[in-house]
Amino acid sequence: MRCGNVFARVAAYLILSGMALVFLIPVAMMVSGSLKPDHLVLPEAGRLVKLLPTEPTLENYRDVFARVPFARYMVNSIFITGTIVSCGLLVNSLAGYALSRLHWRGRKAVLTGVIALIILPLEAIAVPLFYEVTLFGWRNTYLVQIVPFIANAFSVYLFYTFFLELPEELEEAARIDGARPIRIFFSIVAPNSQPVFAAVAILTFLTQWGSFLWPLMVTHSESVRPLPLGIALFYTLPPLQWGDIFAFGVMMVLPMLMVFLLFQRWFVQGVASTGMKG
Amino acid sequence: MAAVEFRNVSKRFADGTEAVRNLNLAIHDGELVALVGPSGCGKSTVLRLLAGLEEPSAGEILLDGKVVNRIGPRQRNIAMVFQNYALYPHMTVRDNLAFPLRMRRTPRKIVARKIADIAGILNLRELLDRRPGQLSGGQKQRVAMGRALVRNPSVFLLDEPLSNLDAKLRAQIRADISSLQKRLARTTLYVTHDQVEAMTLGDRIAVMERGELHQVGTPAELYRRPRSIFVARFIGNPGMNIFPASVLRDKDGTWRLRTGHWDIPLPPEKLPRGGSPEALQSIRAGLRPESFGPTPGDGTVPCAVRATATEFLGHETLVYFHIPGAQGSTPLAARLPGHMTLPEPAAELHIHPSALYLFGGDGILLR
Repeated sequence: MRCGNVFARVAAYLILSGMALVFLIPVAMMVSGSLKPDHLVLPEAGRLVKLLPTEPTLENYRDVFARVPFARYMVNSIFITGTIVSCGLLVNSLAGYALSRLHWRGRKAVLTGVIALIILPLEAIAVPLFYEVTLFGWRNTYLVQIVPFIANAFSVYLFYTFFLELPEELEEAARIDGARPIRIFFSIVAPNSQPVFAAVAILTFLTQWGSFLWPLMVTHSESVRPLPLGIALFYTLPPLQWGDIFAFGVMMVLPMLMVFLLFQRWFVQGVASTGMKG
Repeated sequence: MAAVEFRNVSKRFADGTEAVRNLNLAIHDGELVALVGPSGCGKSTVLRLLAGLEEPSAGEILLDGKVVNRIGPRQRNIAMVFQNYALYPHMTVRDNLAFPLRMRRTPRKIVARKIADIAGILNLRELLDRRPGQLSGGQKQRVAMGRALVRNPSVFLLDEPLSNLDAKLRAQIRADISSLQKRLARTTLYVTHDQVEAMTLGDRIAVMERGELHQVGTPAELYRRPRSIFVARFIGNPGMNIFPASVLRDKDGTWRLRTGHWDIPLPPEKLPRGGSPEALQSIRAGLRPESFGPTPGDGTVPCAVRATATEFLGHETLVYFHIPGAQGSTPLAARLPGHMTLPEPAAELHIHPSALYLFGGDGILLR
């Protein structure tokens, strides 16, 4: 029995390590390529033995700043994604709470609508949405990249299912203690829902940070464009230098990593102590 | 302080279940009423109706003579202790206690003073900076009581507050609640399924079954004059023994109760009033376990028993037995003093006929 357990454990670790390698190797190659002189990047790409750069250089990083307005893209991306994440957390969590706990006419119909919207991809509504924002005169602004993405059906649904599982007695106790619904939400529900807030924050951040199609459709000046459009700019600037693209990629991924590290504690922690019996 | 009244209150849920049916109950100012009944009898719904967490489908709920049906929990000034305490897990004990006061915009200085007072009364001073996750069951229970008491509510609701504690702690906290209630004299509705809690804490007890109120009275009234078999069985531990029997009139004119080999003459005060002879043929009789004695006494009648088991409890012994010759598979229980073993399966116990209860076929007390 014990032997079997050890064997199963070793096998599980081997499989997991193999899968981790599959996912990590491209990232390692990107980092490695960003530190190599440009003429070595393509010839050595795909060769694991050449993973460690023999002549490490920061030339590619200097190039990025020289050839494209990287800082502008970064500021734009941080502002757009940060606003979507923070406003999204507020709006979608309130919507999820209203759907899971408050009693109002039409609640079930709205919930069905929210669930139906989850399967609708952006590509399906991109063109009508484009006409709409044109009508509003929002094109080539931050607004057009933020507002359509704050309310998100999937986030609402995640909040809704999480709040359903929260012990209702906590909210009833707060009602009896004299709190109104909005106060109950901010003082009792939200502080006990860190895992779902972290999950939604990470998921929204990842989706929006890599957003390409919509910004490409609705913006045309570099002053409001985000990072993914910046990286695409290299393909239009001859000569095509893969080292620069990798360096851009590394710098673009770093904030993602930071956000994940920041939230993953809550992401995996769950509700440690609920104050309830059991 | 406040008086509470339920007038013809019913509660039917959306799925059609009728949790409370035509409830009429008054709780006087400063009184503790224990609401007892088996699980699912609707007692917690009554509590939630009074708290304002549910709205009645029919009838009126009055607080100090004012109908509060449409008033939310916020405005009722009612405090409640939940079965699982429902302490806010992310707040310290101090913040938990302060929460209801802050919701009422109580000035900081007064909040601090009230917390200090209640922490003194409930012995919570050392726990003020801890979080609920760091407390034992009994400590959580005290904090929950403190949070309910701190804002000086007019009515105090307790929903099975001891059910999550072990037996020893339960007895201790029961005593604490009792002395606190005597000192503070709050109008209290105490919901429990444990008749011992109800008997020891309640000024009056209300017994519910399947959404209906069976009887309301002092613990002594319910013990001595249960209105129905349900109440008779529910109050007392073990509850009253109930067995089928018939009441017959002898040739010499005396009324007798017969079941199996038992033949007990009925004293005048136990004579059934009215009722057809057929109905008296199949009644249900009741005897409390403590009505049996091991030796004959003044006016007692010997009754043959077939003992099946004995349980020695230290200061008393519970003897389980069947009535010889009688039908029915449930054993009856007798509570005998000290360490007692019945010598043989076939033995004799002695009862006083005045200890008998007679119930009709509908389960309602005849005499």
